[in-house]
Order: sequence, then C-alpha cells, then structure tokens
Amino acid sequence: MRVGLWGCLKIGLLGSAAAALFVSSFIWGTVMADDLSGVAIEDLIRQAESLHIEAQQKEHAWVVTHRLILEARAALSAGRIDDAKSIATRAVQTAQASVDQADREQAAWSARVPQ
Amino acid sequence: MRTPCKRSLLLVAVLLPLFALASPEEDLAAFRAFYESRFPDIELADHADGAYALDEAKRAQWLEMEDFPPYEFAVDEGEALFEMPFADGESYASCFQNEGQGIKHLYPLFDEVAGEVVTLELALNRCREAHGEAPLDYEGEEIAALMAYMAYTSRGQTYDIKVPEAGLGAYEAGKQFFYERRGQLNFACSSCHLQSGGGMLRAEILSASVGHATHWPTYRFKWERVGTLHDRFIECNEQVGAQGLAPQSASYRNLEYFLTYMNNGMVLNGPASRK
Repeated sequence: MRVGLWGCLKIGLLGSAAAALFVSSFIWGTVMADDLSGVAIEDLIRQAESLHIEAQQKEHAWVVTHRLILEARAALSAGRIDDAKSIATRAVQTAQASVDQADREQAAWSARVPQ
Repeated sequence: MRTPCKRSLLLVAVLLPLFALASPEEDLAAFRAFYESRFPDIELADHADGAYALDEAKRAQWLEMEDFPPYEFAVDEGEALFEMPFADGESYASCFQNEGQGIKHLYPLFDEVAGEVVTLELALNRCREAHGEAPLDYEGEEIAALMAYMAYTSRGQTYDIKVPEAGLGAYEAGKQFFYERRGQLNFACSSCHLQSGGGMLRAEILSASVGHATHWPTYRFKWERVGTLHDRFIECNEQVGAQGLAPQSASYRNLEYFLTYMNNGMVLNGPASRK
C-alpha cells in the first residue's frame, strides 16, 4: 500500500501526539504520586476510619488500626506528608484486613468446635 | 424435572447446617472429652485451678501464695460494701435470693423476659438502679470487691447453668465468639486455650478453657488488683491485637454464658489468685 506525503505527515503528527500524551501522562502521574496533597491523604485517613468503624461494628477491630490513624493524623498536622501518606496507607490496609477477618470468621469458626 | 431436583438440593443445603448444630449438652460432652483426651492424667475438676493444674512446680508456688491470699482485702471490702444500706434504706440483699449469700454459681443466667444474659455484675448494678443508686463502673474496684465477697460466700457450690430454648441464641453467639479468630495475630480464645491448651506461651502455660469461669474475680499479680472475668476478656482480646469490647457488653455476657455452661459440674473456687 502506498502512502503519500500527506499521509506520512498525518502518521507522523499522530504518532508524535500520542507519544507526547504518553510522556506527559507519565510525568503527571509521577508528580501526582510523589506530591500527594494533604487533601488526598485526608481521604485515605477517612477511608481507614470508615473501615475501622465497620470492623468495630462487627466486633473485629484491631488495636493497630486505631494507632495508625492517630499517627497518620499527627504526621499530616506536622506537615510530614510522606510519612502521613505511608502511615495512612497502612491504616487502610489493616482496617481492610480486620473487616475481611470479620467476614471470613462468620463461617470459619464452626470448623474449630470439637465434635 | 431438573428444577425440583435443584430445589431439593438447595433445601438440603440450607437445612443441613441447622441439623448439624449440636445441642449445648452435646457441646459440653465434646468439650470435656477433648480435655480428658488432651490431659489424661488430670482430673477434669482440677482444671478449676487453671495452669496450676498442669505444672507441679507452679502449683506448689501458687499454693504457698494462697497461705496469705492477696484477694482477702477485696473480700473484706466487698462485705462492707454489700452490707452498706442504700439511700432508701434497702441493701443488695433485698435484690437476691437467700439475701445474696452463696448464689454466684447461679450466674450468668438467661432472663427470658428481658431476652438477654444477666451476669452477677449486671444484676448488682440493676439492683443499685432499682434503689435509686448510680451504677458502679464495671472496671472499678468496688464491683470487683463485691464480686469477690459474693464468690467467697459461694465457694464449694457446683455450677449447673441452664440454657432454655429462648437462651439458645445467646449461647450460640457466645460459642461463636469463643471460636472466632480476632485481632492482628488472628487468634481465637480456642487457639490458645483449646487447640494449644497445656502448651507454652513464652514462660507461661496456657490453661484449659474447662474451668475458666470457676474462679472469678481473681487477683492477678500483673494487675496488682482483683479484676473481673470481663477485665480478663478485654485483656485477652488486646493481647492478640483486637480492640476489647465494653465490659458487660452483650457479646461478653454471651461469652461468659457459654464458658460458664462449659464449667457445669465443676465447683466454684473464687476468688482466686493468678500470676
């Protein structure tokens, strides 16, 4: 198939645009990840709190989640953004694990009863 | 043809777990058989002494400590509190059968009117409220002292906790709590005291759950005070990384109901002392 000059130009332009878009989105994503704002961290903490409350309602809350939530808040207040992000992420993970434990144990406990 | 067949299978699948539920009597027999098999050289009744039934050297030390029992002060304080009249002139004795003497082994009981498990601590606070007094703090020293006195007057009584039809739900909830894994360490009560009962946790011997409810309240040397069974539930939960529940919450009362039912036939020997 023959491609004319105009065709070559179009392919080149489209390719450049796609490459630029790819590079810029990569850079933007990296910047966003590295420079997570206080608002985004606050959202993470709220997510951890919400899951922790769900675990409390199911009587399966973990001590560590409460401590991590407090630590994440303290780090955020002190402007230690990287620490706050890392601790809040761990808070979400432990809170989710406690909810998962509660759900799993609804059925799993009965296998431990002596017969 | 296929649909009715599927329906039948579904019905069986739904109903099978209901039929598979053991009765409290069957649970008790299996529970006791488990420990008799795990500890063939130990009389079941001896488990009322907890870990001291499992190790001769620790038992000897404990018996020496019992020469001057650290809970004696609490018994005396409890007696004084028990006899202190309320503002309306009545006292705790007016709320209980036999004027509150030698009745601890009757608790917890299932109150069919209220539809809930009533522990002796709860009954004491309800007595206070009925006579216009403020309830006591469930984690405070006063209620522990009252319980120590009431346990002391009940020593030697045999447990025979009843589970009426209406109480089956509470019993099953307590049983589920006992076998459910909790906390970051993912441990159930049964992980330590049934599955690993008799084993070591660092320097401590894990006691058997049969006999777990006979000796409360207890003076624990690490607490440096007399505490209630629910204080211990909270501590156990926190030791495995779970948040403890409120003392006298419905779930802890149900757990006490199940555990005490598992003590049926054993003798009340509280108050006691433990490391």
